[in-house]
Amino acid sequence: MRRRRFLAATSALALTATVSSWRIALGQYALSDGQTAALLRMVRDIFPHDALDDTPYQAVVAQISGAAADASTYEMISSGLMTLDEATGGSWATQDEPTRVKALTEMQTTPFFITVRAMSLFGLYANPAIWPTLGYEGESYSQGGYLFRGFDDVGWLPEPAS
Amino acid sequence: MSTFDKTDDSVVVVIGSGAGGGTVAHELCEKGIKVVVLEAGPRLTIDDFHNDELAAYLQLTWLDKRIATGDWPAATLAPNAPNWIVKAVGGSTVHWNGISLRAQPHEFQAGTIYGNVEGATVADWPVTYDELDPYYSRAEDKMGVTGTHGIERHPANNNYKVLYNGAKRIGYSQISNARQAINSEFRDGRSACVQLGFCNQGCKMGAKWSTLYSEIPKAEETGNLDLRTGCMVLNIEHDASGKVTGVVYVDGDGNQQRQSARVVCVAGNSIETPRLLMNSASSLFPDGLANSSGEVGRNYTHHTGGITFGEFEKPVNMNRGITVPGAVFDEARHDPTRGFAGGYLMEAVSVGMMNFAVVGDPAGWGRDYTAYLGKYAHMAGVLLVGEDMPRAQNGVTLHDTERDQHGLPVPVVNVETHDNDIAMTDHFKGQADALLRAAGATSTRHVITVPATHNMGTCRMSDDASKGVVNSFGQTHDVKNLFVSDGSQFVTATTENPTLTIVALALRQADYIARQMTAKAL
Repeated sequence: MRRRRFLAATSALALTATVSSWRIALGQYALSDGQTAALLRMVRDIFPHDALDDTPYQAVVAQISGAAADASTYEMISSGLMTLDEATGGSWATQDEPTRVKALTEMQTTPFFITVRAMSLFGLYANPAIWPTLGYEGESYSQGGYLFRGFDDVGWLPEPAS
Repeated sequence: MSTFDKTDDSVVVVIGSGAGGGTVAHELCEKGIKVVVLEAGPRLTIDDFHNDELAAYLQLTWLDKRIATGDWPAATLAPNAPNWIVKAVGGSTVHWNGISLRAQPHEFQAGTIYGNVEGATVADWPVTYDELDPYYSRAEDKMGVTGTHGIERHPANNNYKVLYNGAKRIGYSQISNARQAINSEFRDGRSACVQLGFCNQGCKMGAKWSTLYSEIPKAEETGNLDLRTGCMVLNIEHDASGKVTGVVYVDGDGNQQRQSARVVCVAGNSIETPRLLMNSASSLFPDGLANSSGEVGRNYTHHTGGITFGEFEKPVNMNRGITVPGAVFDEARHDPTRGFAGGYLMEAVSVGMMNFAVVGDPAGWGRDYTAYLGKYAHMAGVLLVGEDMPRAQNGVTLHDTERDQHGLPVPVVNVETHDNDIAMTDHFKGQADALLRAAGATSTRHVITVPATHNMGTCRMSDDASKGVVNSFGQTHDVKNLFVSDGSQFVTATTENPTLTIVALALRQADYIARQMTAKAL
């Protein structure tokens, strides 16, 4: 069941289904402040972009926290974070980056890691707020496309013969 | 817009409104024939489209559950969404790239020319290139394909410049940015392209041909079209003689309806079309409607695929402008000395940030991966589109127990990759690396194959009723007033993007249906 879930998590279809089910879930389970802080560290370590502040990462953590209102997801996140702590002698999130990454690498095939990675992937890279930092220009319709804004501005290659 | 009575048995019912269904419906309407189009999805407008990958995916995609099996990447990476097909009026002409290529003459005789390919079901088409030629020409005119009928091609965008120069430098000579069904100037009521990008998300300029705003409104103007949206067909009914008499469907309010029909054309794309025939099994057709050959659902092809991205020192901004702005044709020939049958195209391609992150590495994370993602603006992409081998075991079957929201068995899409496909893909990777590096790339990356957008076969043509589902006009061998009007008819994948061929076949089919109706043969 878990294997099926994390495989499916890689498709946007599954993402939608998951988002819908979160909305149904009520907050019977809630991650602690310490757990959400560790999750923030984890999401940043999975997709580190130093030029980004915490805001887009916190948005991902909020989504994961919402998902953790579901008992089985709460259990998976809690035990995953606990395993990271145990692997690093108590407090994974306060270790230096190489130590944290080493512990994450050992976890990278677990449903816990794969779920957090998949949610981070869509949560971050579908978020228009981070696109300028990564060099992606996003929607162009409101600006009339690129016909007069550099669709052919590669000047370092010769013009194709027609 | 007209409304025909559900008991009116003089109408042609067309199931699906994409390249095949939308075209055949429009053509029949122009000939004075009453048509009811049943479309499972909603009718969107150009204003509804999003310049946003995720929002557009969720808006357009056929999201009903499918199950992928076999060894293709979809079976592990997108096990419930292996095919990217649109559920909306216009079908996949809403999200297609617009690249409009004729199949090559020899590809219609693949069985003869490729010879016996072990483990594959390669066969000749029962229609030749010369027979299709006038229909290709009509399709190009109808769709406004650049480089044909005096239509200007588009100026070269950045991504195409990379493809063109890299290709030239490694000795290729057949490179073109023509053959786009995207207006380079105002034509046929459609705007000119302003290089938005987002061709696959629904063209917000309406510059790209789509049955949504081309064929369907024109058909409505004739007074002969009754388009019903949100209508999922459950099964096709027949009489004791084996002729189809109508279709049963669930309408947008969830109510079951029946529409009588003189002729039924099925155009639900290569997954839903065979699924509907199998769901219409009866005591007279125990293996599925029109399936005495046993070929319904078999010989599925989806094109060899994959993208290679090259990183350049200076920005390319591949997102600027037409998503697939041109192609290299040098490898499209059949040349077995390369170690595989059939050929492939190398097409310039861009994706947006979300899909760039999704496809780069299905398990990628950490600083190496984000360093790669952070070079988005410096990337150029080359897409593989090649002829994959049809196989008997590749295709669509019905799941034993899983049911969709209508109680219909969920389709299972199985693909077992042929060695020929692997050899072709490996050849492409080498050539794509060489091309990108010749253009100046400092590194390249082969990324995962995205869900299949080209879906073909599964109700193949043959003159021999024991070897194919339909004849060369798409008419089923078993039921003379039942037609298949989409890419399901393809015998082999051919190298080229399939839409132009689907439209040409639909035009030819409409002429045939009208002749047969006039002659009272239908």
